[in-house]
Amino acid sequence: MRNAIELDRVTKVFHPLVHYNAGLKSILLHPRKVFRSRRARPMLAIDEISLDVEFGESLGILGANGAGKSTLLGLISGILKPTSGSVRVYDRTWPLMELGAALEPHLSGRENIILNGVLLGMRRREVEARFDEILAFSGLEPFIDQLLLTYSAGMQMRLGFSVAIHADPTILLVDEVLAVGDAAFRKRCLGRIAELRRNGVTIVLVSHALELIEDHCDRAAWIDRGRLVALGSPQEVVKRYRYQVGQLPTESAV
Amino acid sequence: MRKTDLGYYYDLLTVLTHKELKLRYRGTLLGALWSLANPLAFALVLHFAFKRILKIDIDNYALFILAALFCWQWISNSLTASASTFITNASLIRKLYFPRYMLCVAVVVIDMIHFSITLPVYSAFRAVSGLPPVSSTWIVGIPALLVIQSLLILGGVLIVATMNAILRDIQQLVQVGLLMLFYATPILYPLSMVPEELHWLVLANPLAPLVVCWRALLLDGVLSPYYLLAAGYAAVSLTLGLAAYRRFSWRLPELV
Repeated sequence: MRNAIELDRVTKVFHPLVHYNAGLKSILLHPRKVFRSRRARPMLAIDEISLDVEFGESLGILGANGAGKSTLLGLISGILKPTSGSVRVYDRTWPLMELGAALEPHLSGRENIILNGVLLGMRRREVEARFDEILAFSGLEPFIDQLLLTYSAGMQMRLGFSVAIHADPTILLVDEVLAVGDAAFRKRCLGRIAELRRNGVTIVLVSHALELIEDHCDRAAWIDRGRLVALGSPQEVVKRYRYQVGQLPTESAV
Repeated sequence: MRKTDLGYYYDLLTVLTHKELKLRYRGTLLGALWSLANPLAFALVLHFAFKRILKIDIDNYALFILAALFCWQWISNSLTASASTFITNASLIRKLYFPRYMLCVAVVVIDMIHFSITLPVYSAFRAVSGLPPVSSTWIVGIPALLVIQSLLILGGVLIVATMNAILRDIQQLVQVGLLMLFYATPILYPLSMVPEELHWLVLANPLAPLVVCWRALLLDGVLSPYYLLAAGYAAVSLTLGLAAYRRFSWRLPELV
């Protein structure tokens, strides 16, 4: 089987103060302090992770908050550049979906669908042709001409997710999008994800909903403080993770 | 399928331009008319100060000023807006992978549209002043200068937008720079009023030849000899802008 995604010893370091938020005045008055703070301890977000994902496979990523899961997705999507190591993605045709998505609060829902669809790589006329389908999936018909800032977090996520899964992805990166949807929408999303899987779409799914990873992934990866600590069958990895975080008694106690 | 053809870039540009226009005039009654009101009010004040009080010896001074002022507005508005381009679009940049420089192109296109609105207004001013409203040289001159100016400004916008994401002082620096350049560029005065031995200094300002070309075209209907110099500056500006963007754009999602 061909690989869709290949990560080879990928490391990502964030420099907290590359920003110089001190400003020119502090640089002039306290140059030493500013430049010392510039060398403040870098944050190792991803530490030498090597990982391959095959075409048509769906990989679940789990781990605590701040473990590096979203950074990893950012690296796969190309939004972030690795500090060292290499990220190879074949057939670079994916949307990345994140909670809250990339939506513009001062545009209407309708305008946001068009904007997002084009930013995800569709031609405008393709988005327009699929507009009714996207709208029906989102279930937001009554609100579609209102400004997005009037939408609740769940509604925004529904809009963003609906656009993304209609963008014909061959690789779909999903970052915890199912957390805020209501039960009916969640069911519709899972149905759609299952359908995409049957159609051979490669899926990388970040989620804290462990049963989601067990049910919808072929493999699971557990990330802890930027390191890949376990990779294997979802049941196995989820079980180990549950022991670790204390959701289950340890094996010796069973 | 992620599109890479020209048609896709066109779509990207139209949706981004539409978004920026929507956001810029959100909640205003007059919308894009403000882009006209601003230079007209400015020209009125300048006319009063320089023609009536300082008694500068130039005929049709309002017309003279406007021929350069509309073009200056485009430069000034684009460079000012560019400082916040990447910052206000942080959510898009952090969450989606798309050619981010298109945000900069959108800034330039928006102000080009505004500038284009001012051209018929200028014609009307010419007619009121007893001149023929248009000149035949405009057919060649206007498209040429629109292209040169767009590329010149795009280079500057790329530099300012990228650098301001790294160092927010750039935004303030641009304001100061624009204020100084406004007087250093032959807008209030013609190049001919500058002593001959200082022409090189005035023309060392990348904006000067462009403004001189616009005024010669709009006011006198002649093609100035400075087109080549203006195009040269545009090429340099675009090269520097692209270099800055290519060097630093990968860091944008971490900075904005």
